[in-house]
Amino acid sequence: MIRQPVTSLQLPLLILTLISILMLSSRTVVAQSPASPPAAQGAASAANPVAGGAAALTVAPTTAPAAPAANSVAVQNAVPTLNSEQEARFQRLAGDLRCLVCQNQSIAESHADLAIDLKNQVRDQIAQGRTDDDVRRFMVDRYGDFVLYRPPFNARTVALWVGPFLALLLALVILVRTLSRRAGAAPPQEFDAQALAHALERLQPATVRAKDAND
Amino acid sequence: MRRALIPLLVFGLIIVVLALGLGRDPKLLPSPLIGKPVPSFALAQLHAPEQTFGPEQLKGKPWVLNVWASWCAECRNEHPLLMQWAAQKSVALVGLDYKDQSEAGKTWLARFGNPYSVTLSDLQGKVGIDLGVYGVPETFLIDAQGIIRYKHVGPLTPEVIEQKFMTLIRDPRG
Repeated sequence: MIRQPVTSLQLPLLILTLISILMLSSRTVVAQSPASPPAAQGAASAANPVAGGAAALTVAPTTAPAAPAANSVAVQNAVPTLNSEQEARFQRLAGDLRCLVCQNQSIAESHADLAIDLKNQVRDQIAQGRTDDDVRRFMVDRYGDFVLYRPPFNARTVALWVGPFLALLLALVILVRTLSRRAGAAPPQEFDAQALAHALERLQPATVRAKDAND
Repeated sequence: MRRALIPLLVFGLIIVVLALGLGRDPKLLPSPLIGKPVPSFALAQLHAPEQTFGPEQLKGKPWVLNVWASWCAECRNEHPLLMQWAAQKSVALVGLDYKDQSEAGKTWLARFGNPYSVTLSDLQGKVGIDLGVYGVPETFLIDAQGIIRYKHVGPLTPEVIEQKFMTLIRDPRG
């Protein structure tokens, strides 16, 4: 039996499948990082941090919450006004912190009561002169690593960050070795001379054989 | 033939990992405050706003802090359990009325019953932020030394009260 070589379509398809499996599993694993449960939102959530954060930085500091419950109180007393540099820092920080109620939004985008409270907290701290790191640490101390929209890169999350790339590397290594083994594996088959002549004769078109026979 | 099974096994492994992850509730976040001292605060009492109350006043014995609000539907579901728990007098229950109007909070307690030894008013939710509250109801167990030992997010159930809270209350060494 002659083994078929890998066709030109199979290889890209295989790599594409591997990459999509890895991306899907990494999205789930993102949410599984030590301090966080799965978001179960698939690859779409990867696009949110950048797209959503850039589009929705228009929240005015003193607006009431968009959908408050009947008796809830969102008291906005003396939210400090920030200068333009502080405002830029605020927007950046607010885009970096996750809204824990609507978990696939940053607090910049979210209209939840908690998001508004946290935004006010961030404004207060910036006005008081805290650094960006101070603010992030404040939030992580109270809510855990999950409140950071981008998982931090530390000893606990290194598997999360590096894992998919390692898996891809492993897959590629296996792929290359399998392909090279397959290419070298099928030795050319040897026909004996009589079988070869017989096969060649049968391969001739019937009309030529008939013509030959009639000559 | 054997070698061809390896991708299948890897696939199966990935499926197991994904299934475990997807089975979890994304709303339940572990608290980083477990094992840390309860943040200090001084809040006005709901029924006596001129008096404040703070966690220092409860040092020496374990106590339970239940975060609730009159606008919270789930809080109504766990309320009968809290009333039962209070009736057993096994541990002090402290209520934290979170981001609620005082009148609404008082009316709610008058209507459904008040299981709390003392109820505090967190009008702006600032103490809630210090406690890492992100949704009501939430219930904390604080031990005699003032360390947060357990946090339950969502309405209480009899199993949670017994297995998570009472076990730790009876044997604080966990």
